[in-house]
Amino acid sequence: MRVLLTEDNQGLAQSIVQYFSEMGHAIDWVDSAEKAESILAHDTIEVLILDVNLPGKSGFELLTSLRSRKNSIPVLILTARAEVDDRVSALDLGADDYLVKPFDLRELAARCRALVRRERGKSDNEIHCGNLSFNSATKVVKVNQEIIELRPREVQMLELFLTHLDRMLTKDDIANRLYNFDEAYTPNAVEQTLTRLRKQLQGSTLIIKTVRGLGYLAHVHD
Amino acid sequence: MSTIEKILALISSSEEYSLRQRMLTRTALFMCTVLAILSVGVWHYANTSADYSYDRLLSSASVTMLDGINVAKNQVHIDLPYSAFEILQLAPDDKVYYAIYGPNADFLSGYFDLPVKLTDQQADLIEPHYALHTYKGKKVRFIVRQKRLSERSVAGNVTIILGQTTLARDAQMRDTLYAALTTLMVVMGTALLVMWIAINRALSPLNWLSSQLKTQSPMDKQNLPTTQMLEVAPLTQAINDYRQQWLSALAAMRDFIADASHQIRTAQATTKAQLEIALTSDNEQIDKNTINEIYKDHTKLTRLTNQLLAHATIVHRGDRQTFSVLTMQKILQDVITQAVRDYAHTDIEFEYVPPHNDVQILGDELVLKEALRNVIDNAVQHGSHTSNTTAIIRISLHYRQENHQVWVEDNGPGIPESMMSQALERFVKVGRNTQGSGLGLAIAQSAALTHRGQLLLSKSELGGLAVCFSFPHIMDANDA
Repeated sequence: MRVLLTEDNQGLAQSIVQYFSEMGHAIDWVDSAEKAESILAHDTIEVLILDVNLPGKSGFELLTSLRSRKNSIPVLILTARAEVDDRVSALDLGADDYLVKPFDLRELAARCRALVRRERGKSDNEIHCGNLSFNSATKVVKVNQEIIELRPREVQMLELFLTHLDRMLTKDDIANRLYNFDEAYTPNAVEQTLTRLRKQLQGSTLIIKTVRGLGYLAHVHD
Repeated sequence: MSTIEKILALISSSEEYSLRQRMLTRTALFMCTVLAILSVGVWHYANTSADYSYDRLLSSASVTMLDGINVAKNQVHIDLPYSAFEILQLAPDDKVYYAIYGPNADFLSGYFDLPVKLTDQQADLIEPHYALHTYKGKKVRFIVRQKRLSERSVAGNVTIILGQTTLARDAQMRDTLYAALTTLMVVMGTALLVMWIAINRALSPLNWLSSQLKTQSPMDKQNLPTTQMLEVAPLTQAINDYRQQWLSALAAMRDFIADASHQIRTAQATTKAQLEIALTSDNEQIDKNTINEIYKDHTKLTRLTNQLLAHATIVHRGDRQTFSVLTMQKILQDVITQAVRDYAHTDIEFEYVPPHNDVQILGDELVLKEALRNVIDNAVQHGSHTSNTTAIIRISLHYRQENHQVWVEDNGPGIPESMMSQALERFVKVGRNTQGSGLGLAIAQSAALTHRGQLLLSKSELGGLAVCFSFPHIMDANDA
């Protein structure tokens, strides 16, 4: 994962750089929006971590100019402002995610991975979620590099969850994707498929939570 | 622009103005209008009364003169009595003109060129006729009176036209007019003066109040002195109440700052002490457990800071202008989705019980989400932590006749009923788990109060704590 960090606080930036480097990610650090812009113009960056309060051009301004130039690079905003509205405006301006300072480095890395995963999933056939990988072309599922045998419905369900990570899916959402009009299904069928899928994926970093009355949510805990 | 327009523009302008000046100007303008109307009336009255008096003189003189017109030797005989002119001499400076016409309108005596034409008159004039004409460059009041002669030789009406200049009647008219106007002006001047004194008197409590307020500090706990004036008492009472509210808000804020400083500094002192111990340790290698402890304490400090800021934000976002119509199902789904994501790595089970009807309230989305999230976090922290039971958090939304309710329940140990009211206070930690900041429920309560709702704690049927937010229906919230 190639990351560009735009942060003017040296102490925080060095810690982030050290953490990401130790995890084996390529990370570059700049302390102003202007420098970030020139790097983004030449290099291929997979995710941009952007602080809001920067000397000179602010993080929001950089984000706005990126989006106005149709640059769809995933952007994670870091904000320290007390105003809750900051989070809202960040998402309105086209940020993909935000974190409020102070945050856990682990959380930051996980969020970045989620963004990269989402972006790669659009172009690649191979989706990586922690120790789980899924090839949407060959439908091969691996946990810790070992192939897991899944039934077709389970594969369909897994693919649906992987493309809708961290989002609530209702039972109807899932049933509509898994069964066509001709196939009769009982409400229990979805539940049964899910139970089997969970069993098969034991030991993987993909967690599928059931929220009674609302639906299902898949989350990668890595 | 006329003066009146200027004055009106001055009155209607939105700039600063003096109450005294404005009231006096308006009263003066009103009085001038009244004076103008009255003057017309007085002028009319003076004219009528002068005419009335001097017309009587003319009338008597003409009657007397007619008495002197008789038939003698088959001819009209005129012998004007001296008394007629005596009567007219009551206006000594005025000139008198007359003309006498015989039965066939033949001119008999006097001025032949008087402006009153005999042909103008009716043939048979019983009542005298008055007219005002200009004659020889002067205004002259004429009377036309007839007398019937019925002798065998002379039969018909003799007409006398008697005129008198109007110097005396004009003088009397002026005297009456001036006397009346002077009286009116004196009355109005007096009224304005009384008005000015009254305004000053009425405004004096304002001056007294401002001098009282100037000498006192805004932090002064002392009330304004009581006043005997019934009209001013509500104002001083309102100022006193306002000041008390402001002082209590200030005291609450002072308490909050003191509490917050205490909490933050204590947490900081803990981490600082741990760091110092680690640094001064003889051991070159820092124990990972120590770092772990420091990290845990620092995480607590972070949470505390975040919650303090969230609390302050909620209290200050109490401004209802940011309120909009919100669908509670949507808000709850968002909050639950986020909580499920954040606690996905734990064994906690979330449940949602949707309402039968759509639930809409008037509120601030950010504040509500923050508050709900805090209650859920609270339920996570204080929920079941035993290995043989799964922690359950149930969030339900109810549409009730009297209000809307959001319930957040857990199956943890709960809070004893005697301590429930205490649990809503800031920095109060109840229950077995005292790891929290003691702010979560306080934040939720502030949010409920800014939405004119309530936060109630009770025992859940799941076994743990039940937190109930109640919000008024949109119509009630608007009325409140």
